[in-house]
Amino acid sequence: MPGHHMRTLYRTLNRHRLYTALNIAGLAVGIAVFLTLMLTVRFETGFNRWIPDADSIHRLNLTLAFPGRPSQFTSNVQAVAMPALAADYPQIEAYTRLMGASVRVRLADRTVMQRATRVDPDFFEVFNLPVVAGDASTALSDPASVVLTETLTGTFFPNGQALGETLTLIVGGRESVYTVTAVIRDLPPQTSLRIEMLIPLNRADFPLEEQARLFDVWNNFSTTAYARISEPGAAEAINADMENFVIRRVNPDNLPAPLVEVLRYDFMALPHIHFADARGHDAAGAADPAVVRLLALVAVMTLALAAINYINLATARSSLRAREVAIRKTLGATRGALIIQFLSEAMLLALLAALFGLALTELALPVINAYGGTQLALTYVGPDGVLPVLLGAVVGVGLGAGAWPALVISRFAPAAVLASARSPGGGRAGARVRSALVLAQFTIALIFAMCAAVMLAQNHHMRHADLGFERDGLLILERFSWPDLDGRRASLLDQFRNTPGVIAATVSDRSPATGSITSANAARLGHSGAEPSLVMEIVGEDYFAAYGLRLAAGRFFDADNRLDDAASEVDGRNVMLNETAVRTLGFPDPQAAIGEPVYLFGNRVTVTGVVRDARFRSPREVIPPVLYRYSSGDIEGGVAAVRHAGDPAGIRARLEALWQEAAPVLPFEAETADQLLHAYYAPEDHRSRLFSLGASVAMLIGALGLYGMAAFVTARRIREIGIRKTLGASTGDALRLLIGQFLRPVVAASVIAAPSAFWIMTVWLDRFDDRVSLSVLHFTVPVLGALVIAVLTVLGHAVAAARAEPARALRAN
Amino acid sequence: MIALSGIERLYRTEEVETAALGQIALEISQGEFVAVTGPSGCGKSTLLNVIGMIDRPTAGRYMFYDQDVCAASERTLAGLRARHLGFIFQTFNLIDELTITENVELGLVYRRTLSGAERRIRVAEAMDRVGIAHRARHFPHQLSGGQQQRAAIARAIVGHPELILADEPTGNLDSRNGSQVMDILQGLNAQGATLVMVTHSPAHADMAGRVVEMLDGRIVADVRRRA
Repeated sequence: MPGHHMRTLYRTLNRHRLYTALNIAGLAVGIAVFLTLMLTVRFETGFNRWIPDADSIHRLNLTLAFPGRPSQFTSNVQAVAMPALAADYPQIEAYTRLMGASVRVRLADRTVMQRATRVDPDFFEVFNLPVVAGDASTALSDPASVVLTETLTGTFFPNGQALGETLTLIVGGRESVYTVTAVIRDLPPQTSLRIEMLIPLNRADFPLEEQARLFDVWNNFSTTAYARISEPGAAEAINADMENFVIRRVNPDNLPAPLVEVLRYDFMALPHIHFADARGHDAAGAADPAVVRLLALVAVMTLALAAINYINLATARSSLRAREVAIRKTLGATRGALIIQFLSEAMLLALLAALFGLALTELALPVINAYGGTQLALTYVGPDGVLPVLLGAVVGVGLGAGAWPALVISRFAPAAVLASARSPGGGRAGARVRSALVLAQFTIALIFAMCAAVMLAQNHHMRHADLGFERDGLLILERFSWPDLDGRRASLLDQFRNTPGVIAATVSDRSPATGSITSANAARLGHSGAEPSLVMEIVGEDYFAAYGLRLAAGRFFDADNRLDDAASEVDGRNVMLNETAVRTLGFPDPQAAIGEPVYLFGNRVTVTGVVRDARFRSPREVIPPVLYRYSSGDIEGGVAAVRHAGDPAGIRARLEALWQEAAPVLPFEAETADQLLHAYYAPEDHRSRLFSLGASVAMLIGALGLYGMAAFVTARRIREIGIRKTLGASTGDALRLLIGQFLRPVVAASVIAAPSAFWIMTVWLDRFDDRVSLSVLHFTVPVLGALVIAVLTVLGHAVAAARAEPARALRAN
Repeated sequence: MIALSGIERLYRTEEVETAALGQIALEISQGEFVAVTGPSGCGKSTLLNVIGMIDRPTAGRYMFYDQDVCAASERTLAGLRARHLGFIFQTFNLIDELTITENVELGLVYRRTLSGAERRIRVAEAMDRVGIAHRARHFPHQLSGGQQQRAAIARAIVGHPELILADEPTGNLDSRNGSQVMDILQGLNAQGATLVMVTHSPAHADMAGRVVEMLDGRIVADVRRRA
């Protein structure tokens, strides 16, 4: 019996190749998209979960609510916070603080730059990372020890033996010899921590004058901190008591009062931080949970579309199998046997499609990975194996899509089918269900397409929007603050300025994508309300010209005006503001602020100029109010920026030559603004493209379904058209009739899709501070596209049917 | 074997009610060869469908052996059809996607009592009997009408049914093929199968031992002749 059914199935599929191809292709593409998107979703939701005891490891988060500024979520906390917490709350079993450091490794023939992380010695008690060599428990107890990942070991010790060997590191300008005490496995990409080299976080390693600023005060946020809290509910209990902790422990240290409102701490378990960071200051690399949910939705919907496609084609085609069903029933087949036959048929088709879908996914993944910089891979068995998911999809689609056709087809009454030449097509009810399904398909596909249109428009907007500064023709040298250049910065900048092709060169303590922010409390005399906290930026000569910031009112700083120079000793210095700061301070417009006094830490300064807002960070973040001060002196942590004309490669080479002359052992690095901002834009881009991919495939599957419908429905209407033509209808009339029939669901779908997509995209765009405005085009273009696709899809069949000779058409039955 | 009494079959649409069969009483014994004749639309095929249990009467009583067909479930009827009945149609009704052998085998598939080897033997026998063994691996559309009808007969008899129902089996055939088919049917009857055949052809009706004539859904004559 099963053998017989398999044979029938094979023959049926083979005979109706078009139907088979449409069905399998639709399902396979649907399954491929489902798998790809599910891999992405699983990748994002699985972040940090691989770390042993991930649920017990908690990061200390901080929400900063400075007056006058939107509150800011960050993982950068004061170095002093975690030891205080650990002392107050015995539930904290161990903690470690992390502080980023750029070190140089002196090799036999050269010096290379390396990202390193300074950590407390208890690091491995918190993070039980897989150790390849060495003893993790003692690895960081000696101040001169270093832990490497396997990859780094290969870089620095080509013979592979690293344990016990030494490395000469230049850390913060001081050169010393470190011993490799442990080698850890490389961290997989699903990790929020970026760790390549670990060195002990040691107060004594910092210059004496910096130690207190880094380790003892509450207004410097330069570490991230993790604690092991394994007792269930303990982290929540500590979180609930955080207000008391702030009251008890925090010193104002120049922070705006009241502290309880400004600082809000909370512990968050590792698995949650990847999504949480999307709302904060560390958005680069994090995933917006809404977008990930959207991708999951697209994945399931695409699969559902493919299933709907199957249902449609199967029921539309059922007329062709009515006779087979009638004969089988006459020969004694029960309804149950027929239902099983059609269900297994659907299941087998789904299985076949799954195999094709799997192959398609394997082929597509390298492209998608190259495209999005991801490392998605199909694993078949094991805890993350794709086979159970796939099998579930096959059974789900097979049963879900096979059930309705099986019920409809198996219900045909044999006597009626055999008596009449006309075959039933599932009757009027069947036709209505099919119309509803096509409508559903196109509605979903159109919603996807409209959302994709908006997302792509938003991405284009973000890439090309006016950031308030000119991002092209700008090179940024972040290593300008390194001690190697101490005493040579001014002369190096002058040399840059005299280089052919350079338009302007400057230095400032804040650059695009920087995380470092200095806050200043500003006040206006006689102006009520809280003292707003402004971002204070110290800028050097030519700063505004170099970045291409535009003046809104007043004048730029003048290097020859001593009143402008914060480095001079003159009272009543001049400052500049951005437009947001103008609003924050309560001026009606930029012009009104010019010449007005503002009190900065109690000192009176005067606003001499206002520049337009510049977006230095994520498009999701609100632009902060900025107060600019000019300094002719050395700017601490200052980053150089060079505006140039012409070929960037040539400029880069000339700058590098000058740089190496001034700092022979500090490798030169110059990045464009786009490179610096890449981390903000790339993941967004990637996910939008994935979404668009899903949308295109949904549209394709919709078209496949429509094509199949057209093939079968027009065949059934040939007789009707013959009659109409006998009565005088032209080929054009018949064509309009047929095409109109297929366009109706597309038009109806547009009416449903547009408001839904509008709502979804309004919510989505809300997450961006800098966003494109929704336009009619975002909705009409997908509709027009769908109409064109629909017409092209059904045209062939419709033309053939409409042109048929009436006599032949009438004979068709 | 078959006892029909008071059988009615109404076809209802939204507005009209048509009586295809009215107050049919008919008994058929084992081994009979019954021809059902009458003009188009008189209810011959409906009667055959009712006897064949692929159409349910609206009213009346139908006993097949001692089984009340009207009260039986769909499942029971399917079982009865599979075990006791063989159908032959005017339009052959072979399944296009299956070879002749597979079509014939279909007559055994739903009986579920035979092994694969037994099935193959029975299929070969049936095809031999109607003379289409040489066409075993062909598909229906590759055969002439007469050959297709013989294949359909093979399918009907492969299960050794006690009752064979034929709905104008020669209606789509030329006279030579028609008489070949009639010869086969007569042979089957001679070997003990009960045969009910709807036909338009007076000549073919004459070959039956009993002729039931119908008009407007009623039996107007029931003539037995001596062999």
